[in-house]
Amino acid sequence: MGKLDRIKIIQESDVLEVCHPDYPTDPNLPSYYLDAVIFFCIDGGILGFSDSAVRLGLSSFYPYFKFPITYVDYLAALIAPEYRPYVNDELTELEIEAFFLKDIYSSLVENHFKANSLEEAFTYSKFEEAINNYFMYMIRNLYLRICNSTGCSCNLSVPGNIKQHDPFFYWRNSYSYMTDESIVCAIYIRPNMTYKLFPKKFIKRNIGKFAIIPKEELLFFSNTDPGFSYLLPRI
Amino acid sequence: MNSSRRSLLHFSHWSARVLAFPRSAFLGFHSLNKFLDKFQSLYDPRLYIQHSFLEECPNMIQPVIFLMFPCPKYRLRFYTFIHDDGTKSLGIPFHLSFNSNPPPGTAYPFYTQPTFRLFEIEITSIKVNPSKAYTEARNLSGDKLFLKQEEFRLFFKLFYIYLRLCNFFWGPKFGNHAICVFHARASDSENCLPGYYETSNHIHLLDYLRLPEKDELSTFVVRGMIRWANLIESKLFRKAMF
Repeated sequence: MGKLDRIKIIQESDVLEVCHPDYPTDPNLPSYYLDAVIFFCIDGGILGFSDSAVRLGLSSFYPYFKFPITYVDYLAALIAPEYRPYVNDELTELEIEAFFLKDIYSSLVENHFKANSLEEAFTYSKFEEAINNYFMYMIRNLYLRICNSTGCSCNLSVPGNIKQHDPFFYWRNSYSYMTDESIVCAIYIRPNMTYKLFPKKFIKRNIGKFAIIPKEELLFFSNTDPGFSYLLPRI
Repeated sequence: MNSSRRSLLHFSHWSARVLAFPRSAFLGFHSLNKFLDKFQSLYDPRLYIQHSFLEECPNMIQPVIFLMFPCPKYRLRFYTFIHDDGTKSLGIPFHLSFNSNPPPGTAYPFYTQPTFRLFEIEITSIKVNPSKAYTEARNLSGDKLFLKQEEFRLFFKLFYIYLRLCNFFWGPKFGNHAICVFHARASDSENCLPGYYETSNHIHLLDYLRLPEKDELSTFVVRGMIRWANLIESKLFRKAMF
């Protein structure tokens, strides 16, 4: 198991533990991967995105964003809580390539941290704090990327200062659930913030790149997609 | 018979009339309030529709109370029911009835204020009548339960009932059941569940998920009922601390 692999969480008796990438674990123990999910909620539903708005190439349409979390993502999130890769409001080619935290990991380690502090960070990490950092990074990154692709005017202070404005943002807007293979950590951006990021008028003008999915329609998918099923009562 | 159908059969009699709301009304506080303005109270029989019809109707949402019995000694362990076909459940689902002698598979809720101002209403307790699948179930020690009509007090003060109370949406065919999970009090549970205080009759949530014969609804409840991320620790952290 290497640092670029997906995080593996094992169940040892009544406890869930993050396996260390460099230490062997019993292959017979039940194990789960870790996924992150981000929803952008709007009044009466959620906001979906076409791939032309995000340019991730993972799907033609994204009702929400789901990413597997790797060890490197996790470690980068642990050691770089305040790391801000963007000085300007525009993405450079390099930054477009470096979408995931794992893409900036080597430069982070080289420039900011000593190797032994990684082990220390991992050992004494608080899992949800790392996930909180991970989400803050990904929301900001997604936002920049979408602005860059759609021409939406970018206001980085909104995603950049979420934690400063609301220290409990993550705790109030996140939940987790299990699937057969994964533990999924989900976060939902409430409508007032979604509209700060993507103004209503802009969404209406660019309806080919965005899609408004009403709650009633989400209900139809709730049987096949547990993400919607657990999200619906919260929004 | 697949597991989703089995879950359904654990519910209520097909002929029973159970509480349901139109989908468009249920998903918003204002729309629900507006819809309920047409009715006298939450016991108004017009709000209750035949179960067999509702199961085929994705446009109607049925609130379902899923009653669980936490282990009095250990966290995250719940009293477990074994059905005749070997399926294990971690709670009992009830549709809601307006009948104070609820038919099998339904519960009669006691509200503080059955007339409306939704955000002021609380459910204080429910009188339940488990379906046959539960009355004939056994516990993990193999004892038959002989469940009958029981009353359970509930813990929660409700903001606006059902809509906010609901934990997730689920259904054997469509996601048209709003599942509200409640934990029964130990003082109510000890009288009706044999061996309630014996830890061996309770299963840990994580162990339940590993069982081959799980009930689909219980599985959905367990997968979403707690903040799993909060339970995850770094293995090295544990080694360093202990």
